Amino acid sequence: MTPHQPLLTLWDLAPVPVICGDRLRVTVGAKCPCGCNLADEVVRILDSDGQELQAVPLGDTPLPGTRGLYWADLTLPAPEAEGAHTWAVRCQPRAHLAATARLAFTTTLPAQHSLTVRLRDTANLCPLPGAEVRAGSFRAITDATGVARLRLPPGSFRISAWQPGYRASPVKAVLPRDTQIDLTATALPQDDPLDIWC
Amino acid sequence: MVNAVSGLKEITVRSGGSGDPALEYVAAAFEKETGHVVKITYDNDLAEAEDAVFDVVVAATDALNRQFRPTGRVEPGGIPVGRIGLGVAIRAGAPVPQIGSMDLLIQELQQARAFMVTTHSSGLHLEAAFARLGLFDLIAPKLERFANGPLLMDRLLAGHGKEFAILGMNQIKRYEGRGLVLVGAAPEEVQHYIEFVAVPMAASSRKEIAWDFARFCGGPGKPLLAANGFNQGNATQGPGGPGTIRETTVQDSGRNGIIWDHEADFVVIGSGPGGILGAIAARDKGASVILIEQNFDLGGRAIISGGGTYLGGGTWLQKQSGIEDSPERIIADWTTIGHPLGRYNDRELVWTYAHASVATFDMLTENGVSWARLQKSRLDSVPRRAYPKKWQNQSEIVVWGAGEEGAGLMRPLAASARAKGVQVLLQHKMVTLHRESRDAGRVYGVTAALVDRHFRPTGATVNIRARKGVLLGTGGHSMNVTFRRIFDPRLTEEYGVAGMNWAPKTADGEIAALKINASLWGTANQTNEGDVQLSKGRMGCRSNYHSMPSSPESPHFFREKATGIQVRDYQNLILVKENGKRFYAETESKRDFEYFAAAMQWTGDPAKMNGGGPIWAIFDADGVAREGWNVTAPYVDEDGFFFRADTIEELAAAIQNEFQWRPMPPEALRATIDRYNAFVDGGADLDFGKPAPLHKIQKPPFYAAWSTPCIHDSVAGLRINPDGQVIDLEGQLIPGLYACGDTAGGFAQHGVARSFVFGRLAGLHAAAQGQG
Repeated sequence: MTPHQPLLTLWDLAPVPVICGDRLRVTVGAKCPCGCNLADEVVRILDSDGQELQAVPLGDTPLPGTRGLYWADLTLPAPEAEGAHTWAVRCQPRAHLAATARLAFTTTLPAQHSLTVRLRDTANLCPLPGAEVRAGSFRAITDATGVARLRLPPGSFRISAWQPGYRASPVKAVLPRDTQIDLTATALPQDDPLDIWC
Repeated sequence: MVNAVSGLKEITVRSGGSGDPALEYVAAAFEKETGHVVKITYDNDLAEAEDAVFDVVVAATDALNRQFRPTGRVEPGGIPVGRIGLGVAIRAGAPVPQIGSMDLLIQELQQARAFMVTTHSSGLHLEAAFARLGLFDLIAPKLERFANGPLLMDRLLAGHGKEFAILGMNQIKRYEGRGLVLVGAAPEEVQHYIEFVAVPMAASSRKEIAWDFARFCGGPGKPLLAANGFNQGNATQGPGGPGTIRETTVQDSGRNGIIWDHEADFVVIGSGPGGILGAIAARDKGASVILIEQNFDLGGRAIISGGGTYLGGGTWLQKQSGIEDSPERIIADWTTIGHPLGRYNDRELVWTYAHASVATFDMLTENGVSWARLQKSRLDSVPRRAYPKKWQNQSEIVVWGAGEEGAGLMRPLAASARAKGVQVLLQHKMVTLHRESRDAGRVYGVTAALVDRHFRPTGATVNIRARKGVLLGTGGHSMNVTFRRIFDPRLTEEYGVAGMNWAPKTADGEIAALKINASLWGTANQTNEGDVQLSKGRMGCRSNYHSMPSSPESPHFFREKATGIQVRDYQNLILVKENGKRFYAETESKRDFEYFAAAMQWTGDPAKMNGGGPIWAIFDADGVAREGWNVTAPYVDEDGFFFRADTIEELAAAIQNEFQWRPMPPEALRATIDRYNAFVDGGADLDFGKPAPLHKIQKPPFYAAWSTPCIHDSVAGLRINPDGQVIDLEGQLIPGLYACGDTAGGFAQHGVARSFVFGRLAGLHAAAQGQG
């Protein structure tokens, strides 16, 4: 009989971004395509040098909403160095082939400055609440006054905003200190179904 | 009427000669009316069944006289039920032979690859007739003989090139809709009629019911027999009435010997906006009108639309709203060279539309449409687009939301048409336009096939004579893959169509007209990319036009199967092609033709180099939660249009759909998602520039939903003149033929208004003509 090979999936990596030297959390799921019970099978986290960082057993029940995905939450120490990192998640249940997945993430220095972004409608300069503002992998939502506040490490950032029905051109911001910037978004032509469907 | 008989019984019927399958329709009608059960046994040779006893025999007169009457096995007398003649049939798509005279028929026979007959009486008669005329040697090299009709049909339908058959009309009718086309009756010189009679057998123990059945065959059952190949002879014309069809059969031997089941001055094909207003306009002028609709309800696509009607030029609603407008202003707007919707229009048609708009609007109002508001959109420089009030009778709404206004437009018109005496024939689809010859003479009638509630032919057809004209309001061509690819070869089978399950736009009007030499017109409009030829669509269902979610309460939900799910924010998903790869920024507009071009780009199918295959939306449990979707039936169609799995790799493997030419490579989808998730981390989509990609696709379960672009408007079609008359390839009128709406070309205006205008003008023009 050919041994089965599980499929691995990772989700809910947090925080985003990961802070150097802090801790990170991630959820690992494993599924045998043939429906084997993977309860208590072990998943291992290996760093980029192949050193095992942690080994945890999968839970004894599948994730709700799935047909047989066994899972485990992991909490790990984050690397001290700033930058991109790739770890491996490995699982080899009994009588199964080994499976490996890639855990890629970026670490940044701790935040030191605040960035205040004021987002307004290009046409009338009214504030746009509820928009998602991004500065690299940092993010925040604009409040009722159209303002989003982020805590960022020093550096250069591409600031963008997203609100369905609007288009905002990203701007570049360099943060040697606390900063405030204005961003405008232009309403796209309305896609009113009634306008399209006579 | 059939006598009331106490006690329900089974009667047995022997159908001799070639009386099948028309008799089955009659039997079913008899069963429905009386409750008795009719069991039919077929036998092509009654002489071999001399001992069998049945309650009724339906057989050729000469067979009865020869085999039954001398020994007293049947009751004296009997009920004539009609006669069956010989017809000429071809395979659908084969060259149409000219059979108007013996000379033409002989020419066609000599040029044909094969000429097929059976060895039954019809074939024997034919060969004898050709021999009698001294023509047998001319046809003999092409002659192929078959032991029975089905064998002949198998050969004819599997053949190629110019081949045709002559055999009983009922046999031909039996195969219409299955690839066979009736060309017409055989010329009189070789024609042969078999008279049929229904008569109880003397030994029948249920003679009273047997006589009822025989009388039913010769009375109420006659139209059913006529629809299936029986020639009824010259019948009288009964009175017509609102909502009914006269049970009339008229032989018109001067025109290919077609037997007419119904006739009217004006025959309208399609009950959409142009058809229904054309029908009313002609009826208002005193013409009798028959309106044919393939659906089980009136209204066409307009009744599921938002009802917006571009009619201005100074309508009372515009005046009431303080809006100044004029026909000249309409013309300037809709012939602007600065926009693709104006640039390619036929100026003559726009001029007519502009000057007829006020009268058309008034007519809509007079026939019951109540108006709610005006809107300025597309090329209009002032508000012209009038919206009807929402229809209040919930049981008469097909699509809730926008369709409530569509119902507000079409329900009053349908009611008015019926009240004014327009005769309606539902679940009938036109299959043939009859013209005196292919490129000359009048259009004088149509053949329509009875279809079931899934638009499938049942085998029954009716011939309808049009004394003054036929109006084609068949709704356009978008659903006919072969036809739509005339304009854009990329539009292969995978692309669905707006309203496809309510009002299929299968180019039947265009094709029927092209077969009699009509011209297409304004083809640049079909690909001008200025409007709604394509849209991004809803997800998770095949019928996925974005603003038409049919709820399970909709009367045609049995055809829709799922409502689909609407996307609020395309940040919650990615779109991939059949190969598992992204191809465009998902957040682009639902009208972005660059997006459609990318979606339709070839990805490697060795058997199909046009069309891009399915587009799948891929999302995760978090995406479902953010959108608030319900991803179970009936919101999604899990029969090929929606899939779920615990892992990305399993999701790719799970996608099985008739348009997915290979399994989606799991590793490709995994790589796509890993890369996209990295873009989310980095805040920028380095591949396609999706603005600030927000959400990873990471949390199980994972989903794939059909998100393939949806086709909408047909804005190229038949060439018409300002009266809606169809023009041929030589620039000449085709007398008696009209077209409107999406069936007509030359005017790239979305929606119902141009349909109303030219349908009305066609109705008025036809009503003023002499009888053809």
